[in-house]
Amino acid sequence: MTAREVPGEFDRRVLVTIQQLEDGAYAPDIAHELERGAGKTVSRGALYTALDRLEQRGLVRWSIEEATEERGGLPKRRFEITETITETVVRQ
Amino acid sequence: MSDSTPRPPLLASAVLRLLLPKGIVRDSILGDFWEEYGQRCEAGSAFGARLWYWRHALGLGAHTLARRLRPQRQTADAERRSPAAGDARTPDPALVFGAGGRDFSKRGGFLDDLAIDLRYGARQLIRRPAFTVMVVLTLAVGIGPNVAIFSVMKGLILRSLPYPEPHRVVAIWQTETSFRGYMPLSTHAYDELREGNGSFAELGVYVPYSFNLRDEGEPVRVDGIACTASVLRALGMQPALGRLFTDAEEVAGRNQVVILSDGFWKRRYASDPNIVGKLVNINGDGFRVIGVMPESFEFVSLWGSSARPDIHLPLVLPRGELYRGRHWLLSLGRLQDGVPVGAAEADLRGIAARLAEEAPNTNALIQVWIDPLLRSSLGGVARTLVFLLIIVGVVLLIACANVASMLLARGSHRMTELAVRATLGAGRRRLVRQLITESLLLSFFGGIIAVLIAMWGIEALRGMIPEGVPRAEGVQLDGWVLFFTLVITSITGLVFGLAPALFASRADLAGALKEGLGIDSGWRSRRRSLRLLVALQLGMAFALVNATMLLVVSYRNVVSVPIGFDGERVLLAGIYTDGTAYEESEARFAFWQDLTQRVGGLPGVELAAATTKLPLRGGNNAFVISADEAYDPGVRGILVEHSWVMPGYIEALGIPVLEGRRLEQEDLDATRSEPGADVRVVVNQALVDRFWPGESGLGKRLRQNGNPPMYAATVIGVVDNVRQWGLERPSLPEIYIPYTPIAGRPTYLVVRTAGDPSALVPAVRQIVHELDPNLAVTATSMEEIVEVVTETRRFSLLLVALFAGAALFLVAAGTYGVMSYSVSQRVREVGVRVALGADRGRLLLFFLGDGLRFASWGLGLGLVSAIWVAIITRNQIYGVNPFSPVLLVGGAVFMVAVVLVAIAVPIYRASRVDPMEALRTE
Repeated sequence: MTAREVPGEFDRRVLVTIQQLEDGAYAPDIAHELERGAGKTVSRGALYTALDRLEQRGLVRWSIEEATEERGGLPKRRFEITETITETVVRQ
Repeated sequence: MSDSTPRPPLLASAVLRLLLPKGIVRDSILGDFWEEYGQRCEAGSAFGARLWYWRHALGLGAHTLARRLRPQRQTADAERRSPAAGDARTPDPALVFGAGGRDFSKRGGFLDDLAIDLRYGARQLIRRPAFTVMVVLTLAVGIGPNVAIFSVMKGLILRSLPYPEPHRVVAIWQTETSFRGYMPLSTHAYDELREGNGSFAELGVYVPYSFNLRDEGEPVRVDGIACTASVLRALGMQPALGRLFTDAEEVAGRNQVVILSDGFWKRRYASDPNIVGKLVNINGDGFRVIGVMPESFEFVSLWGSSARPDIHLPLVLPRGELYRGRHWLLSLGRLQDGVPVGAAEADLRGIAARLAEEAPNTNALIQVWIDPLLRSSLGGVARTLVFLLIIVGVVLLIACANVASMLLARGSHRMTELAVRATLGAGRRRLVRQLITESLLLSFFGGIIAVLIAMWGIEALRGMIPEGVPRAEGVQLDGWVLFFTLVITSITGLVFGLAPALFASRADLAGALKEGLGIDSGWRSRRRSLRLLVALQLGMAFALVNATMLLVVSYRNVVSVPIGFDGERVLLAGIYTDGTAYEESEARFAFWQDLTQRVGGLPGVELAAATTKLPLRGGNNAFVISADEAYDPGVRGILVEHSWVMPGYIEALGIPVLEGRRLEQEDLDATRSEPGADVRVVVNQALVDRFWPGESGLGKRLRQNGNPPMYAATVIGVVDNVRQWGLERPSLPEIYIPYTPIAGRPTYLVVRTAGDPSALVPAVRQIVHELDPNLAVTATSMEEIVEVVTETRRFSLLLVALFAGAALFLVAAGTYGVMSYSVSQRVREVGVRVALGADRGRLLLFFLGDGLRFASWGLGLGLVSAIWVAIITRNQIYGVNPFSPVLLVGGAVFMVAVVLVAIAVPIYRASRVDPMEALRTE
């Protein structure tokens, strides 16, 4: 991992949270978990941007889950950490 | 989609949808938001959830926007570093390869392209500042008046009335069965309608009055209303201090209570928090203040009553036989929840039909109808505003055509650039979008200046809204008006931008590239479009000019209407002789007799008299029949205006006597000493023409159409017709009866003076106060009254003339521009012609013919639009044929003159072309 690829503080927290939420986390869960830990609201803008960034760097991936009614029939993305970096993140 | 979970705020999710790049990621994020919104709604308040949604949607939008703009900035930096960047003529690579600028952003989409287009567009506009300023100003001139007129419409018409559930508040009118008129209710009808209906939660009546109010010092005239308690309840407002009246206070003796308006409480009593319970002197009697209405309360008065009530008093209804046929009560009610207007109207009509059967004497041929309160309160203003909105709409179209022609002409300069970009791979859609973005950018700048123009315009318009239009202070620039501006600005940008954009993008590449070498192959077709646009502008401007001329002629006709009296040097003083001191008719009579005699004796006074009704200010009418007709409740008779006047009135106003004589003191005395005998009256010529056409009116007998009649009369004189309902409505038959004062209505002191009438005001005021210190006097002059009735007309005339002037300026500038362009494109041709020996006179004629040819297209088109505008102007004009051929021809000549002025300079320049110079430009 080059210097540029080392995730920042917030990104690292997101990664750890995804790691903690087993069976694939999705964004609202991650947000709630982060908020519980930090004791303050997490900006959804920051969260989705972080997820995007992590995905581009190959640190997370997502899969699509069936749409449900309480989401207005819209799809759901479940995030998980790519196996290769699991160790790196935890060690940091 | 589910109905079980709450739907997120529509606008916020639309914003999110717009800002995020299309695809499954966007859908999943929207889904996350949806789900979380639902959870928050369940857990807490819907408002909190909405707030949360907005906050995070905007936050995410901002993040996305920031991320997307970043790669482009890097690109731009890179470009600046590259050696080619030094060449200003190299088109922006972001656009050349602009099948989307996507090369620079893997996630490219609407926003990326928009950002590029905007930056590029802004650069283009800055590069040609003069052009940009011209276009922006033209657009501002087009959009500004629309914003101003819209804000007036919004403030007066589109804003709902300031009452809870305003749609349930309606006005109730009686009317003749033959047409739908605005006739107030009679006491009897009110009682029956209120008791008998099953549709109204509240129904009440009121009468606008002026009161003499005196606490310390000089008494003042205060506008107010006397109303039943149900009126205030129907409006659904609670007082800010104290309480409303109760029904029990509508009885003489218990009615001496008053509710103040917020404004009056602040102005007159300096917001005294302890005002409730205090006594004020109204019409000489003590009234206790029981409440103050809230600031938001506004009594929307009907029937063009100009007064904004400052005080509200209980109305004590007289219920004698005499009042059965007297229609004097304005009425409003609140419908029961869920009852539609139609059903309520049917309900009231049933009662009216029963009344007509039971008491045909006063109720035959009279019907009831319901009008939404807002419409009843606006009168003719709505129509004038719609008319003005159409006019400013036309100005905006002209501005659009004007800017479109400027853009089209500029297209020639940009052809090369666009062609290069197309060659390098930009698709047609992409180019059109770029050009439209530029148009939108221009129109937004125009919109900003338009708002400034509108701010000024709204101020001016507010000052010019005729008195009597309710809620004029609600006319302001607010969020809705700004939203309207945004919408109209966007539409404007699309309208003027689309045609030139499509045109430019369709141009053939080879031709455009050749043009870059100085050969403009596309200019012929462009010139055709340009001329079409100018013709369009000419046509619309012609219509505006025609409308202006129609209004000018109408105005001239209105002010030169023979009003039937001489208003110069006539002082008017309105005095209400009301209150317990004047309960007896004798007391009132004595006061007026004294007053006219004493004022008549003042130096500088030629004559002093009194009347219950002034010319031009509406009237007081009743049905009259000839004395030899038998009374029949099924026959209405002829509607006649009634004025009760003191001797000397006809002379004081200079109304010409056509036959017989004026009313004298002896006639007044006779009326008073012989009750039951015929009263001696003077009538106008219109009455004689209706009752006894071709005959003399002298000695003829009449009576009021009632059983028993209010009076029977013998005609002793005939005078000229005086205009009663403004200048524009023809005179109705009128009857002048020896003075009997009427309670609750002002009597006007009419004084013909030798000099300036206003100089006499202090003396008159002093005499009134010597007679009764409680009476307030409002003074005006007859000339002012004449002035006021022409105010609205002058106002719309001024506006339309202003707009037509702006339109003409735009059109002249447009014509000049197109002709200059046309000439500049033909310099070489002219050069060759001159070199081959063409004489300059012929050249001049050639170009003149050219210019006039497209002027004639415009005039042809203008004829059609002028006729259309004449149709919509129809109800604004007076005494002139809307399709007057003289005006149409005059307008056409005027337009040709404008075209000639506009093309004179380019033509002159063309005729002075030096052939050597022209050929050298090759």
